[in-house]
Amino acid sequence: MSNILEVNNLRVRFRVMSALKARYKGVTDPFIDAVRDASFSIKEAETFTLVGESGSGKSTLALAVAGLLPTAEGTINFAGKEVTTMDRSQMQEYRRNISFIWQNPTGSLSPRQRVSALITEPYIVHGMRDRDLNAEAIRLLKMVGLSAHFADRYPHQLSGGQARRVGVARALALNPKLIIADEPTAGLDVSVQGEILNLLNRLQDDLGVSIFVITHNLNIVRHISNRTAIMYLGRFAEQGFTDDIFESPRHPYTLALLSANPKPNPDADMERIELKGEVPGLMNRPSGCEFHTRCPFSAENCTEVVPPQIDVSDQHTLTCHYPRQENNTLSP
Amino acid sequence: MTQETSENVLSVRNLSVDYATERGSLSALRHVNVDVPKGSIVGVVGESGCGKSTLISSIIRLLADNANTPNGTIDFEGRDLLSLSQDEMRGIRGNRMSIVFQDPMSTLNPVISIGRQMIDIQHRSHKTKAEKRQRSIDMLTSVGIPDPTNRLDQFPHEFSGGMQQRISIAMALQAEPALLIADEPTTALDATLEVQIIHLLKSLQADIGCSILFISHHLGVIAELCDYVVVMYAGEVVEQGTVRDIFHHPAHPYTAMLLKCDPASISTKTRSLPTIKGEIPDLVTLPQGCVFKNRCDRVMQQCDSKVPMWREVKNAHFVSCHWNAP
Amino acid sequence: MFALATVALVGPSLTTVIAVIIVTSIPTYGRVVRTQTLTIKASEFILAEQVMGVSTFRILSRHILPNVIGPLIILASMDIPTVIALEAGLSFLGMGVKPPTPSWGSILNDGYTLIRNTPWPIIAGSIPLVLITLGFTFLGESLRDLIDPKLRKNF
Repeated sequence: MSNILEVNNLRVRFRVMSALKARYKGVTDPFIDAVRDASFSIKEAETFTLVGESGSGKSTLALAVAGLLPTAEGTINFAGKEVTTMDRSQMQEYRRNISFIWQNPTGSLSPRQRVSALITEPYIVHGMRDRDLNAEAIRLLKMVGLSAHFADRYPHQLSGGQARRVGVARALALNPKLIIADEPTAGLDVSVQGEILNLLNRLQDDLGVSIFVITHNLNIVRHISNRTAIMYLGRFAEQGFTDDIFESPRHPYTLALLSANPKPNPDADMERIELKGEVPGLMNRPSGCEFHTRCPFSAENCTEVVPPQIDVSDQHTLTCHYPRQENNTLSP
Repeated sequence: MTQETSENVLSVRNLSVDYATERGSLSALRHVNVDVPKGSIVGVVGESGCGKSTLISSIIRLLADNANTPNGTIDFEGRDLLSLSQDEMRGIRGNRMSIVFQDPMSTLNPVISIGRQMIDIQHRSHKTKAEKRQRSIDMLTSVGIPDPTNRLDQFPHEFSGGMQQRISIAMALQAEPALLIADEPTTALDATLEVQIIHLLKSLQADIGCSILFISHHLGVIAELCDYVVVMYAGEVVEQGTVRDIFHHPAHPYTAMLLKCDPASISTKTRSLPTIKGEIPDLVTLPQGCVFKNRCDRVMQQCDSKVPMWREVKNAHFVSCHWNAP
Repeated sequence: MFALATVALVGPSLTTVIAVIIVTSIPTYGRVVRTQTLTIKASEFILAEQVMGVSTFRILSRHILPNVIGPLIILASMDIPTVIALEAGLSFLGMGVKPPTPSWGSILNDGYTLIRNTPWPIIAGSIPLVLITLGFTFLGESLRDLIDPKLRKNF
């Protein structure tokens, strides 16, 4: 199957002080890198998951892919077209083909609009007023498992799970090729989480849409995604098939993340890799390997040399000087 | 869990709380029993709308104005909190009983240095200012803040989220309370920090010898941290027992379903996750009989008409369900 | 003060009074609209609309305006009494509307000259002023409730 989205060496920078202030303070580089050297691709009808803690740059990457943030370097290629150099009308066309599911189920719905207006707005915006919008609203609601009477409700009258379903319905309206889902289960109860994930899985099977999931919830990743990338301070630590990542993680950060996840079993055997300290801010990015300040296995050259990206097996890549051995999680 | 109050730091008995709303009386808690034994960590699990927040608010006596407590007692160190005046309550809150909230940034005053905040909350003590300052430094050391002497003069925003939560824990434990109420203290934190905070709470609890009432919806955290678990649903406590009883032998169908739904407990890859069908009942117009009957997979005839009794299935393991009842 | 100075400079007439009232109250509206818009602009649903490819005009008219208009209507309805009072004040001082155009301020002024003989012209002149002030305040609150779906109580 061909790739629907290809991202190569993407770098997203934010200015942190004005040019004048930077000159006055003698700062030569008044920018921070929120995303650095990100390369990945998403195939048709597959789910790609980006995992990272807060401040790792995962949402920034998603917004850059959607064309909402300017990129500093690198390319974003969607179905053969370059996104970073698109003009206005090409961008409008691109936005017909991608859609977002937002982190905040209720807050991402315009509060003064009824559900029916919200989910049919994509048609109006993209010049498809000719169809019967009421019928479309009911069709979309049905697709996400809501009955027709929800069409007259306002966002604040919906529960978290219902608002999330409306968000999904809205994302589906234009029959997109790619859905970007930022924390699709945030703020939902465990029993409702399952419903939303099953819905996404089912829609993918039925419609063949690709899904790009951004999350920090490791528990859901293995049930929804084909391939996974782990992000730390704007850089991909490890990337590969989800099963490979979960069964034989090689990057120390991936290992720490997976082992930190508490299991719902009081007698679980917890062999933990505990990380020292906290995530450093993007303002003072550590030299060499970004992870060395917290890595339990860091050695001298980790503090100085940026680790290269290495391939360990089929499509399984990582950036580390001392990757862990396969299936032997705690010793190098 | 023993039902004798003498062993318990906190013992909630038959507590009901209603809220007066425009649509009528909303019964947020109904005949709730919760025990927190001395020196133990009790976890409260439940989904949104189960009454967790109302339970905390009634324990610290800070319920909203439209709330009404028709029956029940909250016994804390031999006194019924519901019969105390607000003045007497102020002597207990922050002294014998303290609380850590979900968002540390909203509990720390952003314009006052953390040193001053930590000294201010020792207003009951008659120590000198220098002694109070030393006490604050010791507390910060014990929660793992590096270089506490200098950091005491910094403001909350100069600390990261994990550090802020450590500081609020230090402040809560400064008076060595008998009970610490922790309301989702790790929800706002990342996985690697969550583990750090859990371990911190566990070791501090052992040092100080206090009890902790730990509210969370994260089953993994509850399993790892707690000794006892209370499961709530739609304003009722449906099951309580030791953490092993609850996680290995859940007696209430809701507990069993909740455990099954957690994607963390499903180790084989699946594209179809288990869910609990239906929705939580409207707390204004409650159905007859059992509150869980519309979603239950073991529903029987008597569930429709009779509210299940609170009974002991085995030593210290309680449930309210008709299933397998004698 | 500004109002007094301007009227004194240009000379009292209906047009001046209206112009002065407009100039003095516009900055308040600007501030309210600006802060409201900035708050709403930062919310997630606006970002959601942008990703969908919604034009700036549509975002402004369909998604930002309905959220700004509520506070504005309250402000306006609460301002009506203020404006009436301002006009009455100006007319009372003889700087407002000139007879024969009737004005509550001029009526009060007339009453004031008779205050030693009888208080009734003052009382009769101020009752409608008080009533209309209260009336517009209530109107503003009801309008807000009607516009904001969150405050509508029919569900």
